[in-house]
Amino acid sequence: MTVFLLRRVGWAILVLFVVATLTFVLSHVVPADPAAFLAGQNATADTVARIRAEYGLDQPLLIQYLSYLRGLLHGDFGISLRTGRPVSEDLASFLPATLELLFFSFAIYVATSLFLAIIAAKRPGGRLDSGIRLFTMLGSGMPVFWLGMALQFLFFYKLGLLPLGGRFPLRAIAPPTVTGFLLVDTLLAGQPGAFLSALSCLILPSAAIVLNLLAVGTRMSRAALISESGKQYVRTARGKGVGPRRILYRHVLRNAMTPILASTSIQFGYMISWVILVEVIFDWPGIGLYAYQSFQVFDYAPVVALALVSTAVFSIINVLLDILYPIIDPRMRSLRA
Amino acid sequence: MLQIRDLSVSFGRRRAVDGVSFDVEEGEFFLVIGESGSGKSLTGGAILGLNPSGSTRTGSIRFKGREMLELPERELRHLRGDQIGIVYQNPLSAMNPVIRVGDQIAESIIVHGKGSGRAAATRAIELLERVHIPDPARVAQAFPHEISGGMRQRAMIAMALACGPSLLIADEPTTALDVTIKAQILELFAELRRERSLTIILITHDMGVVTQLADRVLVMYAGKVAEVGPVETIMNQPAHPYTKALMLSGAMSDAPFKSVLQVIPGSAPTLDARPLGCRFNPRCAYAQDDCRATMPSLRPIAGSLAACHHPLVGFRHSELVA
Repeated sequence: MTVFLLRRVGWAILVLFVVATLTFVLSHVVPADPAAFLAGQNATADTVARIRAEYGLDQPLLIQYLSYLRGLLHGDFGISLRTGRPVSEDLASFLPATLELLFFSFAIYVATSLFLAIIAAKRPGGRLDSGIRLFTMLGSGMPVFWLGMALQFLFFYKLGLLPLGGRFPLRAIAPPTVTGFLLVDTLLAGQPGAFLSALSCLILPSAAIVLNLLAVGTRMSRAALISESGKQYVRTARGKGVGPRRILYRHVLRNAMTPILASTSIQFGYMISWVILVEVIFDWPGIGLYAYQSFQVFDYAPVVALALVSTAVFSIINVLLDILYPIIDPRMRSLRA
Repeated sequence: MLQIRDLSVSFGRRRAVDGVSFDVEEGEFFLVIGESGSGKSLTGGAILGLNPSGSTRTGSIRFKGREMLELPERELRHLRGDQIGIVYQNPLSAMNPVIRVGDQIAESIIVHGKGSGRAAATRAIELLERVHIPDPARVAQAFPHEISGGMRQRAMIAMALACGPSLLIADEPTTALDVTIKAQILELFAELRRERSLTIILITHDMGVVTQLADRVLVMYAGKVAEVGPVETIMNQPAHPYTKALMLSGAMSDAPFKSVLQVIPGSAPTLDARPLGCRFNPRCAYAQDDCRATMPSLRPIAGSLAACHHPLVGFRHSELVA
């Protein structure tokens, strides 16, 4: 178990290192001079040179790379030229919003895709199965940004049911920050009204993300459930007099969890990219929007930080999911070494 | 105990089991033998209403006076595992890989409301001991892949016996096992039958050592009953040429090495290509014109029932072997 875990963590660190290097290279091949941008249009060559020296931009690339890596090890992502604050501080204030949207969407995605798959797998080829297939395909057929705007048009502009964007209504009183997750903090502060406003802001961006991923998730889970339902142990369970409900939850679902988990880990990666995109559309104050706004003014440190943080989140979740395999399937406990 | 009349299992218009009738008496060790595709497993499954989706059953199956074909699924479920236990072949895939052996046995007890939690777990260990598994407490905690094939089959039997059924259906229980383990499992069946007065229906394509254990034998061919009768009659005076051919092929012989192994020419017909008349006629050495025209029905011939226009009379298997 420990060896397995260490190996997983080792891989995650290696991936992070590669991503850090790649983002460094990419941000330095872009033909723009951040120092000139920061100095402003009327700056003299002297001013630009001074700023360049101040941010270490006049150093050879290798030196810049090494000091960049050293900084990363200390949690230092550099200074944002746009906000003038250390990127790590900005991240601390923007990351909870992103994680809240990500985890909320992930929970809805897992629950919905499993629920739809269970219904669809009951009668493969039946009316419900076809209906679910059509519905999920429709969601995946539309690009996330378009889906987001269509939802805004329908639920904000036409129906006036849900907010256009943002994370919390401007005039509402925000709860004291405890976890940084508004859904949790509003409840901790005992403000059910504020909880509902926070929830109403989450619905549309999450819906855009989940609807786009639902088709693959539902199909994968459905296929796993159908294939497990045909296994011989199901016949044995029926022979013991076990009812259909217990067969589904005790026997089939537990065996289907392994393939379902595998597809879920992959889908989680897509979900991170969609969260970043959706933040821009819904004006969600997370690290995606932060990096997007920085990128527009050639402020690279936040962009690099975004790449690293999302890779880290993806790696951590995958290590956690990997730990689940041997818990779900005892055969995997002896297989890996 | 069990009366089956004119039972058919069909897939659409094709009858995989075609008008099978037989009785099984209380406490009997009843053998169903046939090549693969003869419909023997479908017949066994039909008793419990456990046929593959897309198949339909017609005819009559009476178990202890109740008509099984008319019972709703809910009541059938109460009978399964409780009054009728079933053991399948290949226990590695027939057991759930992610549930501990003990829990799979206990589940039977739990779903039939005969004890819950701790009581069912203790009972599961007793059952494992009953089927002669050494260190039953440890095996109960193991997952199916962690124990040997013979132990798995014993555990399957323990599972089928969990609620003390009066009828046990064993569908090719020894197929995936090697010869010595096979003999041990069969010995276990014989012992259970003696001590629990259990009625056993053993479905197999390979009789090997079973003949001494059984009381009566049903021979199936291409969905039909070829012959049914007491084991001595079937062994020594088979009336149906197919039964004789099965014995000569070594499948039913006690002493196969004394005689020359004979192969039945051709192969059993598929569902779509069944011949007119007697279904065995293309492979039968004794076939005549009427065999190719009309289907024979079961009739009493020298101590057994056989479906043959020209039954073998005076054939002695022992003479042939000698």
